[in-house]
Amino acid sequence: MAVVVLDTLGVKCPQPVLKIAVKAPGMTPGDILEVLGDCPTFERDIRAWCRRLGKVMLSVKEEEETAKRIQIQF
Amino acid sequence: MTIRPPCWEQFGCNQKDCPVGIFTETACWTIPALNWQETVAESFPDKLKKCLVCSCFQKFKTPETLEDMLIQLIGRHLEALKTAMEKNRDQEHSRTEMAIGLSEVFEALRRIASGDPYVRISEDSGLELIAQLKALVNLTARNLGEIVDLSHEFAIGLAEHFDVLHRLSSGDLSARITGTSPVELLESLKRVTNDMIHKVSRQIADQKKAEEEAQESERLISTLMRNLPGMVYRCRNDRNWTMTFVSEGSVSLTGYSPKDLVGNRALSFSDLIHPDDREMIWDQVQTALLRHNPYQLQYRIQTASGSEKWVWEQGSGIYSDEGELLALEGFINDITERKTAEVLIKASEEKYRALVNNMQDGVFILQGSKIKFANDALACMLGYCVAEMADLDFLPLIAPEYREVTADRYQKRQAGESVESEYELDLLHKDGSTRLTVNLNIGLINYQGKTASLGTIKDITDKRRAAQDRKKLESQLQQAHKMEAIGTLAGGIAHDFNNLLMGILGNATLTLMNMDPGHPGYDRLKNIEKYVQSGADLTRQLLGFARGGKFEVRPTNLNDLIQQTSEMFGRTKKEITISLNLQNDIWTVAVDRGQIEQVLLNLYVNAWQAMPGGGNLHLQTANVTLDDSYIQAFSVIPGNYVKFSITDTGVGMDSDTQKRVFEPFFTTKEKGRGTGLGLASAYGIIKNHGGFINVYSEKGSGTSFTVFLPASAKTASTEKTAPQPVLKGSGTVLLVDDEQMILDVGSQMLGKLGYQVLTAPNGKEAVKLFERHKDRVVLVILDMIMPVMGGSETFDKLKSMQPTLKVLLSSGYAVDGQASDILKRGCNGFIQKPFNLEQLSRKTSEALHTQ
Repeated sequence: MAVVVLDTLGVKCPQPVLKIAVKAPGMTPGDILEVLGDCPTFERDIRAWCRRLGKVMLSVKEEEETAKRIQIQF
Repeated sequence: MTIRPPCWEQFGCNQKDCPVGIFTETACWTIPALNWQETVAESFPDKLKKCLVCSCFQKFKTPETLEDMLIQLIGRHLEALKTAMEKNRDQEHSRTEMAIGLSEVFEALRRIASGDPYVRISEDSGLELIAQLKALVNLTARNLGEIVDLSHEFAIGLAEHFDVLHRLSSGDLSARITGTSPVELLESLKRVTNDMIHKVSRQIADQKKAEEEAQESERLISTLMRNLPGMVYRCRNDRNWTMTFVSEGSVSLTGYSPKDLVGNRALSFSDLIHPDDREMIWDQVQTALLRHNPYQLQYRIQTASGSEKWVWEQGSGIYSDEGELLALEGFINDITERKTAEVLIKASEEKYRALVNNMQDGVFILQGSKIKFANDALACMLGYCVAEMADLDFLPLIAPEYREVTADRYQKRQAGESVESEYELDLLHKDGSTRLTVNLNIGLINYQGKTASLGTIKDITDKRRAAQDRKKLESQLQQAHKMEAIGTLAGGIAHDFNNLLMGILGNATLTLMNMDPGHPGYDRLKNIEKYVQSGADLTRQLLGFARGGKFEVRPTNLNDLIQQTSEMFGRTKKEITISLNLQNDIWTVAVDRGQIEQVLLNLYVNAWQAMPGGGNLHLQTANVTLDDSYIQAFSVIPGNYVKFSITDTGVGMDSDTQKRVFEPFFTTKEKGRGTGLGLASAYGIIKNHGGFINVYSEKGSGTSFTVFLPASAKTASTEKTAPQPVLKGSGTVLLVDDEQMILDVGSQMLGKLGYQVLTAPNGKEAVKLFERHKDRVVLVILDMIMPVMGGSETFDKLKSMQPTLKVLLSSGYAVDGQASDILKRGCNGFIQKPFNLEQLSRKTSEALHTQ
């Protein structure tokens, strides 16, 4: 079970979601993807993506300024 | 706002000549300028200057017009000044409002620019422009929010598609877009994608299945070709039958491997074919190809080992879409064993056919109700040809009275029940009337996969008829033996009885000779004589039956005899109608007329008694020639016979009565009416004449007696018999008889006739006596049956002593074989005991006068 970090800071939505989508094929079941983002709709978009694709959103952590760190389990 | 008239009208100018109107598209500056002066590029004084120098204005200016113009200009200038001052006050307030409003707008725009589309600001402002600007910002934010939401929706949708496509690419054909999006396009895309995945999945599954099937098919074909006991090929349509593909089966079939045959490397397939078969194969294949038909061939090949094999081939042409022949494909199999078996089977079949068709007995196979096979013998037996018998219903071939039992046995046998397998029945010939008695032997077999019955039929019609004939013959023989025995008995009785009668008759006759007719005992003695005569008639009939009485044989016309007797009988029996049907040119018969008359009268009387209420008596004569088969039963010789039949329409007889009708003393008549000797004596008389008598009767219909007498070559004589007087004689007569009573009576009767008499009780004494008196003995009356020495031996001795001696044979028996023999040896006559004086005188005289 690996933890992969994806940095989307400074990238506006829906770019973070698209980047996650690109990353997803490399993930195996059980892997965790940790995504950093600061787009105002970042959390909302990640939640919507997880719900739609059946992934588990493990945690949301506030970072500096408006940034957030979200963990997704595949 | 007041609309003023155009300047050229106020100034009195011509619009066409106005330079302003020329220089700009907008006509005179005054009119629109009054309304839109702020938008005019040139200043009012400049415009005015232009008007003042304008040739058009100059051309039409007047003091009035100049005054008007100035008034107007001043008025308008003052108006403009007032408006400008009001505007300056409003503009100061507006600037403040604008600054606040713009700052709000700026902040909002900044937030929007940072990616937050959900910012909203108050749209209240004293400046309409700012208010509108704020509204515009909110609108923009809303619109942008929608766009952002849409882009997020697209992104997530795209991400899901990406994920699904990724899973698909990884082989997960179960991956589907599951999320629901408010975006119609995404929903459509989901449907399209999922449909596409479904179709692709199905295609893949189908393809996979097809591939599996193709692989299985390939494996199957490969296995089949490997295991087939033959060779699969593809070849060109050339004289070499050049092979382009040959299966491994070629090795076991031909001894050559596929690589030897493909491309004619080692040899062509044509080389393998027997030379005599090559042309036939080529012709048959080309004919089939012309018609686009498959071909089947049987021919011989020579294998690598040099052995010859019979092969069976089936193939067909392979054609392009344009109809061009591409190749021949087919299969060749070894049928050598089958061919060998066929030859053996054919030989066996020929043997079987020869056997079945040359059998004397009929052979058949039944299935259902139909004849499935019948051999020549059966067909011929029943009058059909073999082809006609195929599928013929068998039941109608059976005589009606046998159908039910035959059908019942047939059904029970089919049902597995144990029934008689061999029995006799009658079949009907094709002509519908001829019957054949057959012996049927039948059993169950399996024929063409179904239960059937195999049977043999032996025509026993002749055998049955012969058996019946034999039985009849045996019965007749038995009857004949019985009659013979009875005849012997009857003859013995008659002999003794005749001797007794002779004594009574002789004594009565002698007494009467010396008695006056008026004497009281005369009539009684006459009655005695008459009764003795009746008794003699009775014994004569007995002797007739015993075949002893044929001693006056003369050629006779039977028609005459029948006419005479029937006429005489008809006169006394008026209730009987007699009809005659007599043969013209009837052959002569040699008979004792008296006896045949007796036969006829007996038969007439019988017929009359059978018709108590009257009826018809039909008399018929005919010339017939009898062959061996017909007369075998009656122990007579074949040849020409005269037949006469006496047929009545009386009560008839049952079969039991018919069997016994010729027995002596058998009678169906009431006691006292019949002696039971009439037909018995008729039987004996006819038999004694070398003929036979037959009876046919049906109870209630009538009876017919048919008599056959052997025809004679002699001509019939017509002789009238007249009463004979007593003939007296002289000389010594030697009377020989073992009965003292006969010697006494006979010697007295002879004495009465004028003869001197010597008597001897037996042959030996007679010989001695004759030896002593042979010089004076003129006649010997010799009894036949005597003790010590019988008549025959005595006759020979006497004759040897004196060959010219006259001998009259005398017997209580009728003329039998022994008497007949003596007569042939030279005896001069025969006298039947009992005899009266007249008979004795006539016989004695005849004997003495014979040569």
